[in-house]
Amino acid sequence: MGARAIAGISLLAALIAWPGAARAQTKIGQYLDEAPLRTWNTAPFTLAAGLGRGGTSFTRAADPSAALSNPALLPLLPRVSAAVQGFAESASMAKAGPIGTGVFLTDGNVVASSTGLDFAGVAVRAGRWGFALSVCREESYLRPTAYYEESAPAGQNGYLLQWTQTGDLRIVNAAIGGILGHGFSVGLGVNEVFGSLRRSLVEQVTGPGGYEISDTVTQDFRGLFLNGGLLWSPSSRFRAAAVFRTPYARKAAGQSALDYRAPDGNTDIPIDASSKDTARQPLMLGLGGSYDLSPSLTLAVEASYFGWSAYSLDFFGEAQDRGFRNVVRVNAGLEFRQKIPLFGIDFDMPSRVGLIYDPQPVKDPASAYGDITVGTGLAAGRFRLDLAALLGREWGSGNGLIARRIAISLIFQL
Amino acid sequence: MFRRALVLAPLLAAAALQAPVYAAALSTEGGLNGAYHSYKELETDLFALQQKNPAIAKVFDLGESLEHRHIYGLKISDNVAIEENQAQILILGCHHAREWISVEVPFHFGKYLVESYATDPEVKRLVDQSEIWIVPMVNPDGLEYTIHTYRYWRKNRRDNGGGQFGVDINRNYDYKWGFDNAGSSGDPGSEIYRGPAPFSEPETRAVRDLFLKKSFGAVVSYHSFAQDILYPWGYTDQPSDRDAEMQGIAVEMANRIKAVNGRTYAPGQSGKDLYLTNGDANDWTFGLSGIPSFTIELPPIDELLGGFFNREEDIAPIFQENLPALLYLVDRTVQNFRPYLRNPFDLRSVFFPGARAAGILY
Repeated sequence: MGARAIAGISLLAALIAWPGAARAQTKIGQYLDEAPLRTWNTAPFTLAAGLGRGGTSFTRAADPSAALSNPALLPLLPRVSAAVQGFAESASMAKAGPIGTGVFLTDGNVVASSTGLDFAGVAVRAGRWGFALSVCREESYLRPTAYYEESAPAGQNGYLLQWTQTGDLRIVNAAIGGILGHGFSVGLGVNEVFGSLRRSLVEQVTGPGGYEISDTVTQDFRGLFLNGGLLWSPSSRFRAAAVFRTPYARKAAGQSALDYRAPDGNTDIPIDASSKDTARQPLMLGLGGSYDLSPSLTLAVEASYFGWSAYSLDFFGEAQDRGFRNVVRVNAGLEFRQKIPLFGIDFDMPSRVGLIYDPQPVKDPASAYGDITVGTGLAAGRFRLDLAALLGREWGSGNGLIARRIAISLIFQL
Repeated sequence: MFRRALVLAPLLAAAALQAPVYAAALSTEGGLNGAYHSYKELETDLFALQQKNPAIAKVFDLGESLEHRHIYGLKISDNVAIEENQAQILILGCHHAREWISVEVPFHFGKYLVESYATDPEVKRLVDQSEIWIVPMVNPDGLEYTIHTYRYWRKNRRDNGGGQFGVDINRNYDYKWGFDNAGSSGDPGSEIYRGPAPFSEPETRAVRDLFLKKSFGAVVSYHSFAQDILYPWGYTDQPSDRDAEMQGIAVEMANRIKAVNGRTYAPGQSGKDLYLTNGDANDWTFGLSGIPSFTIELPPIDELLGGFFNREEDIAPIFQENLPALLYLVDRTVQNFRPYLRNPFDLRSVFFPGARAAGILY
């Protein structure tokens, strides 16, 4: 049974992505429902200065985001520092939910984009100790909105299908760092995770004898993990660091509402569900080093291990098969510092460039992003403005996914 | 090719039925699909039935879907571990992913047989004198897609390229496959896409391999919706040469269904009274072996009353009304069974080695 139930409804074609349209490929992509936008390896969060340096942040940070990457840096910050950051980012994907999987047909990859603020934090230094409190948006679950409609004159049946997914994950971090002596400092942070994901699909046959199916799933996330690090500065030119982020159970309180309504038949058939699920998030370990090639030029290199093979996910009471692989991300960057006189003021104007090799944990298809980053900034007196951009391309899945990010951070320091 | 000619025997009156008691908790509590079985829930519950009475219930792995899910068959018979020269009946469910109720009726039939065997002499007789094979979920990949992504998905999950997915596996059997573009389609984007070739899909091959390994005397394939009992042919609106016999059986089943809750299931020839279909399971089993082959379209009757949706609390009444029809068909098959001599030159197990390779003794 079924062929006549959909008679007259052609395959869906129209897609609205915000903001852009899509072109090219249609092979199976790497996105699962819970995947963060662009990359699974979102840790640690960095401000624009670190992003411009290829995402390196274990050994060089001069703002409160050090609490998220390596709290051992906190005692090296200025006496007081505060920062906020705005961003714009976009990522393409070959499939998402019903997009590219047989329901919504597209000409190629589709794009999800967002803008906003993604960091606010403050750090203080007292003697050999540093403290920080911050909040950041570490993951986005945004997908393009998909919409298709066939209108019909009065008395005839029309059709509508719409799918949306939104959500993000934020972290509140409280961290402390202290100088141990002999060039060593150590730090520890406590992170509370909170966020949500909401997915909704509505299908309507409008007009006489019509019906509507709505399928909505919402999840609220909570979790707690520790992060920490060790910094070693044997000389003024060289630093080395080791960092960690503990694995943790991200709890999800879920609600599902599946409903069929046919008003002309006085029919309303709901299937509701609630759940308390868990996603085991991986261990992250990092090693990094930075070296001043000259008084104005610094090279930083880092490697981060993500233990994704331990990732597990329950979704509404059922274990989901993932079978992820462990990956090692490599970040490298250069920072060139110079002073530029502008309007009678000597501004510090760093120039930054970096590369990131970012393999993804999905085994099939196995893929990785290669990112290039650039950044710059202006600093004078108590204020600093940093700007960075990232352009990434994925290979391995055959879809050639593209990722972009721009970050602008404003830092106040005493 | 006909395996044997069935003589229409006088129909026996159905024995009075005990009302089924659903005492055992199922694994379907909660979840996105409510009281309906997901793939993992069905897997859990089928093996629970086997564990409940391993003397009469055994789960077989008939093959893997495209996304590597098992297609399970539950065999119910006395001496279940051995092959006996008995009447055999095949009950299929969920060729089409969105027809969630079509998993439940076959599964609950198996549950009923297992749980009533020790207490109901009529059930015991039927189980002892037959092999009842139940494949509740022929299309597990499609079903999971309806639960997680798009509720009204119909086909399996083959990537056809160009962003199009799915073969209608009830158009993929090879009797009159691709006969015309009314009963199926060659367009990969169509809801009734027949696939690139007959039996191109692992799901249909799993059913085929089971069917060819056995000597079934009747087949029922559950679908929804429409409240019909359909018999071949589907590929044409012209009747088969056994139309009267098939209609008679369908009418008997419909009468038994109506006696429970008063709901009418309309008997009719598939291609004439519903719509043309080619490459479907019933035309294949009937065309290959001549056995009674039925598609039962479960409630509701139309979209105004729910379409592919049934209330969770309607699962039990829908099963209960289909139960006497199923028992009638099993009994009829038992009564019409004539023990046969196994052909020593039967090379089917050579040409279909999958079952042997899996170490499965049917």
